[in-house]
Amino acid sequence: MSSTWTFRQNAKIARLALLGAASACAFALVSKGETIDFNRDILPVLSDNCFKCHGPDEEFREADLRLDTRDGATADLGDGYFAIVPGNPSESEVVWRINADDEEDLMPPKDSNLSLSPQEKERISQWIAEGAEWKNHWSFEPVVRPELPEVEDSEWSRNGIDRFVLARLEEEGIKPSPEAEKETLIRRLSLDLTGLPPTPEEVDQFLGDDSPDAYERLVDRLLASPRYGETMALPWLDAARYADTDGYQNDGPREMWRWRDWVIDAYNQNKPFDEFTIEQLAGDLLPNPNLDQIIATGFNRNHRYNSEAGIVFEEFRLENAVDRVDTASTVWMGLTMGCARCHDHKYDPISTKEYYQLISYFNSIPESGRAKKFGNSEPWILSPTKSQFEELARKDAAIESARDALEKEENELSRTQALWEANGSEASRETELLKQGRTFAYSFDGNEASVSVLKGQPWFGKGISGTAATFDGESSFAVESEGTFASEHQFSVSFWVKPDSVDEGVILSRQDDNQKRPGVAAEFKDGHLQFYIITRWIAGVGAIETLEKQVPGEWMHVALVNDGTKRSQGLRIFVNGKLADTRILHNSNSNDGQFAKKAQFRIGGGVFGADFQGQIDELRIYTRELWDDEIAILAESLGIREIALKKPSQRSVSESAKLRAYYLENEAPQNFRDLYSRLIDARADRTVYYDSLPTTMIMQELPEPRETFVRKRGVYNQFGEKVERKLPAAISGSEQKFLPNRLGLAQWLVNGEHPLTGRVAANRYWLKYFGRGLVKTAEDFGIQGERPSHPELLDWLADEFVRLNWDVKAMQKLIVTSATYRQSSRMAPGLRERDPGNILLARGPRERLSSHATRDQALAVSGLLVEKIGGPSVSPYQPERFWELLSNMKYKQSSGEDLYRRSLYTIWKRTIPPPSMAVLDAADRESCIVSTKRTNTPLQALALLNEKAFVEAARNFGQRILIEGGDSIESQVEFAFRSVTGRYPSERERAVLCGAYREYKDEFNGKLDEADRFIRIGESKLQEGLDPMQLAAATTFANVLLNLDEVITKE
Amino acid sequence: MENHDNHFCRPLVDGECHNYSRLSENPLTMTRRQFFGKSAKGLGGVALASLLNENLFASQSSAGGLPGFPNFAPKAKRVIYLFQSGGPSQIDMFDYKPNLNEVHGQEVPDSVFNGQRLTGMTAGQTSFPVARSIYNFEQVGQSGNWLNTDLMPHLAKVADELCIIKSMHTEAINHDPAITFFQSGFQLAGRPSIGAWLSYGLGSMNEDLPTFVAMTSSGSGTGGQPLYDRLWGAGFLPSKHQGVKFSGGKDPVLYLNNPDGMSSKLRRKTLDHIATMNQMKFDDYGDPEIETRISQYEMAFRMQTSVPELTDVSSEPDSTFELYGEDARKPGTYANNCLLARRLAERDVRFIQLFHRGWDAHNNLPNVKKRQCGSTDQASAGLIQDLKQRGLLKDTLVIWGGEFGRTVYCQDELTDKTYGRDHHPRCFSMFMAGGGSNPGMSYGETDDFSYNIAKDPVSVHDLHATILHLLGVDHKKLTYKFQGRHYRLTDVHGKVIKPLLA
Repeated sequence: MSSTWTFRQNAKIARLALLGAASACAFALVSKGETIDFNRDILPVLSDNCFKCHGPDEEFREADLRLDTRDGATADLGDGYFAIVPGNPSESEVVWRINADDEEDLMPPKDSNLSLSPQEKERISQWIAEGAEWKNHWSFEPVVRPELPEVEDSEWSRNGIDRFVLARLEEEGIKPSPEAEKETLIRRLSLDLTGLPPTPEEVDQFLGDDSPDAYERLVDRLLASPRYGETMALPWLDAARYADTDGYQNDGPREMWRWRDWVIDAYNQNKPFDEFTIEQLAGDLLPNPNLDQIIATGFNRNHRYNSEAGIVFEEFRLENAVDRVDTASTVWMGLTMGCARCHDHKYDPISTKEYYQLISYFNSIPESGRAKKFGNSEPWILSPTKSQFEELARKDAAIESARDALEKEENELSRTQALWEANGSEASRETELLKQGRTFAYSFDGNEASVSVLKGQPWFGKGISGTAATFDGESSFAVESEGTFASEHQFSVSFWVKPDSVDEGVILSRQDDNQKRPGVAAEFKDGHLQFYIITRWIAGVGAIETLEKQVPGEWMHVALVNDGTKRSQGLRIFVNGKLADTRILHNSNSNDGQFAKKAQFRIGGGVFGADFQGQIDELRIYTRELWDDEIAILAESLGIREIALKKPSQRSVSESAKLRAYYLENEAPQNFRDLYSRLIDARADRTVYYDSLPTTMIMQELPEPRETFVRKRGVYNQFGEKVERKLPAAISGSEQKFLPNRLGLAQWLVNGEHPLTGRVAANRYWLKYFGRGLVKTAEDFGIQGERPSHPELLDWLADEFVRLNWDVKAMQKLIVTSATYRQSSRMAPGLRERDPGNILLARGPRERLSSHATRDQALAVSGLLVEKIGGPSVSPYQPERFWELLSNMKYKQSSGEDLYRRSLYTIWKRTIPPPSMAVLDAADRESCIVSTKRTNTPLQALALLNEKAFVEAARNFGQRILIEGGDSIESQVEFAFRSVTGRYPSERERAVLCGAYREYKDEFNGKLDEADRFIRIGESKLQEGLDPMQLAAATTFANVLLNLDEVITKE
Repeated sequence: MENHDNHFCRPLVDGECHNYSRLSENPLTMTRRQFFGKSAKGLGGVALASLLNENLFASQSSAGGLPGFPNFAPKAKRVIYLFQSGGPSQIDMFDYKPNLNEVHGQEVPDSVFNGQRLTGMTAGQTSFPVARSIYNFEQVGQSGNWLNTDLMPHLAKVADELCIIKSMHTEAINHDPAITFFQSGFQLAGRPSIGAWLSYGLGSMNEDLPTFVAMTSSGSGTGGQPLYDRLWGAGFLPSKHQGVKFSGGKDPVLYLNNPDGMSSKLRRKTLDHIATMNQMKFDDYGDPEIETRISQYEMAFRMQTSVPELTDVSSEPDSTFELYGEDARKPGTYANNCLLARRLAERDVRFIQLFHRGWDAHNNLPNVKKRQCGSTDQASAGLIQDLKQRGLLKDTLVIWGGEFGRTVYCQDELTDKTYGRDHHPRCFSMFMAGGGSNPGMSYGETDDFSYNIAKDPVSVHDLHATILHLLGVDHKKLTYKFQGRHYRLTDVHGKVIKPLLA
């Protein structure tokens, strides 16, 4: 193997080689004579070994000694003891303690399982001797743009990044790797920027382009691809714990794809990172936010959400806010704030009080604490896409046009109606009015078969129209199985009622007589009219009541409407034709209505509460929401015949409307009735469409912020002191110039001066390309996190990001156009031993593809990939009954093109992620993950070899090999190999692959049956005209290629 | 000194993780070498590496664990954990309360409630009547422990092997947090499961099978509370430590079978070609991940043989099925899974966990009990007997239990024949057997209502600490640094319950 590495033999290298294997910080070691750097050499040691008992956490601080601040460490401990006496190690108690022979005195104590190495002890002494200089933790210090370092090799660097990398390499005496081959570069770039490999044509084009800016133009082309947005979105979705289900217990479905598509679009539109941040954290608080900005706030609703019946709401309202704070802290600040939930942070200067101050930014939203079992939990917003808005507008226009058509006929209509009024109105019947979607109508004008006496002796007294059912508080009627009053169904109930008393009394109900009390009811209680749907008392209740007290002894019209959204806000009460102001009594009505089908629909009574006293008349039940104008008609007490007898000029508006509706529905000439039907149908059509539109869970502020208290030990019901919104002092300083809400918090993060935001974001970009951040612990920039390998480079990138006005594409371009990125990823033997993790960046990145890219690549080279952006998630192949064996949900596999969408769109059931992706280390989306691991396991091999999607991709790839790869084995091998690697095979590779392909042909020769079964795997159509045995061999060959290390690796 | 914390958690981790992952694959490499020896491919560098590793591990029986682990001589080499999901009722199975007959139907006294929070399901109840157990309890075996012999006639026969804990308690009151807590020591998602911790700490004892196998029951073990991947997940540990799920049916491990129409012989050929190509790639690029990949593909191939061989119980004698029950012939049943658990234990799989759903008895508890005990009692007892007769029980720890217990007060209808019980975290029963646990023991006591612990409480963390102890692991030493903190299974709690040890 040829090596391009040269090592300068100097003392430094010898030392590194010696220590490299054993030391924790091979590249950060100091030798005698060098000064100690507090942040590099001392703080990590103190933090790891001492802060747990002598750190910021006041409650558990031992011996009143605090070692995380200079004041604390140098304070008089009494009796002349000082932990640290600057300049004087021998007087410093710390030095004596860490070196103590006696177990009683030794620090850290034996049972802590912690200990200091001799070097660490020595360095602490040296640091004290040098004056015990204290510095703020590096990542809390402002970013200062560093000068580009001088380098000896003036040729290599292409941009600022390279100067920092090269300077470090020169210091270590290492030369960077040569630039990777062009084929490797275009494949690396394509996979990094679009998540897909280049086609052989694209490779050829790039190979044939010798212009000096060929590389840069390639980068520009890829950055402009819609696939770029999808690829950039993936790590963001992992961080935002985006999923299609709730994540607890039954793990029911939710709908958040509009937020996912917002992210893709934001990257494709190159939305600057500050706007990207503000809209997701506080889009709802912007002045006049548009729908997209509100959808963006779904970021903070992507967390898991518990719908278990037994939960205590307060507990999970806290958990939700905790998840929001922890996620936002990790994503924007790289801080593990969550530690401070139960106690002051053990290592970082974040107190529990400050933690709850942050909680208070995120807990003032109108949410129940308990999720719906199926569907989006409040608050959510109807969020049609652009094309759906257009379709909705068309449906509105259809209603308008139907109305116009009727109005145009007004003269003729009035004329014919007047004729009818004069002649035929005698025959009118109230029950013929507004029949659409009506399942039940009862006038109580005498005994009818469908209604029977349930209890006591109800009778018929004079009613609002004819007679009315009359109850004495000990009697009721029943109707068998009327009304499917499930909370997820739309329904309306319209009736007249004249209560003797409004103190109490169940007017109507259909409810089970058990402790879960499932059912629906309307009743008077303390003067108010209540309407509720219960799926499980008290865990699943939607209940409202009128603000106004009702008046006994008078007829009133009532309409109860449920919009099917399974929440109290979906319940409405109309009194006398007008929407009543109501208040919510319970809003836990989050289950599907598991309605007792055995229960009877009761009129004048219920199974809980007192029976009704008074009269009920003209009861109607609809399986749809009534429109407001229809309710106004139903609330008109005057009968149709009576209205018709009045002169038109003397009729009220509602009287006219009622008469007209009746006429149009029943009596008008056919052409007018048709016009009327058109209007009714257009309305119904709109309703159905409207109900099918996607919703998105979003953030909203309560009018009055919820009071927030410190929770002792993090427990939801252990209240400590009350706190106000305030930013953590250690990072924000004492000046709090930002609005005390999420908008202020977001603006603080991206004001350009925040010490963490730029560093953390730049580090994650770096991680995306190199597989390792400049700060390895991308999730932790705190004291316990790893120090940056190239601190100045990180700061330069962070500053550059701000300087470029948070231009995200520009940052990607900056990184991928660097000479550092363009290096070959070969590992020369010397370097492999010395820097196995490529911390020094003396070579290019080499890393197995992500789970998503692995499948997407297979789909792409097979020609199956459907490049369509966005939309509801899809359900590609899964092993049989995979969900069913563990959960109560059935997997409904997609068909057609949805089987071949990019993996980004695969439905993500949080508790049972797609198995082939989980095996390949996809983030589980249960909580925020900013860096996924790459493991190497036999289960991955099995998935890539045998999983249906990969086998089907191999067959389609095989078809391409046979059709597009020329006639000879050699040409087919070359075509296939280039399709997956971008390069031509070497002679040896060619020989191995041709030999292999021949063997597969021999193997299937004469085995038509086996071949046929093999190539029929998957639902995609089999290419006609191919010999099954030839195709089986080509499929096998493709299967091998899709399993090669190089193919599943970005190199 | 280098304790493992320092070794793993703040190093130049890149390099060490590499070493770690390579070392862990050592036994595989050896087999691969043997294989390649046969097919005569030149693999100089790789073979050398495996020779080196071979020496390194010459004195150890397992591979891939942390240095210094186990911390002391283990009593148990492996664990079979029979997880009964949904919350079995301690009052109707182990925690005999004859006095409840006298107060049956009466309100539970306030003094017993003691301000405990109730679930949202019964918090709205207006009445909390005591529901006695309708079953017959007997003192069984030499130890004279009380057991419900109506429901558990078979477990009653192995009563002297059981180490019953009657004073378990947990912090969680709802299924998801409670079961997640039991599996990972924390109520919220994200932490590694017990099996993953053990795989990480102790490594593998078998080169052909995973270290951690999870199985779920079909039949009466389906329905009710769902299960989640996280229950056998690796959390923040590398995902190779996650449990591999075995399931009944023709694909016992996901994607194990070659595609329809592809013979094993052809698969072997393809793997040879993949290996040859990968080896050339390694020669060119020198990335050790390529070597690992080569060995993992070989492990995959071996699993294609070893797993079907393991799950095929047709060669078992009739006596096996007399012991476990005829259900054990049917793939996916609890009984079949128990039999597989024994076969896995024989092959030195470290952590075997069965999940049986359906114990959640909010109403009609007698029906639930009949169904659940009917399908698990014989097989659970059969497994213990079988392990014993094969000499495996002494170093195999069997654990039986759910995520919480059930209330003494009735939920839903209370009649002579039927009643229901809500979730109860304050006390419940579990048992262990073998693996150095104390046989014939009954530990801990509850009050007369089986509502509060009267003596010797055992927390979930304590149980975890005790399990780890039996495996030779100091629960405070098994840590992993993540997000700046040294995490462990027992969080910051837990103590070994000494009386539970033999």
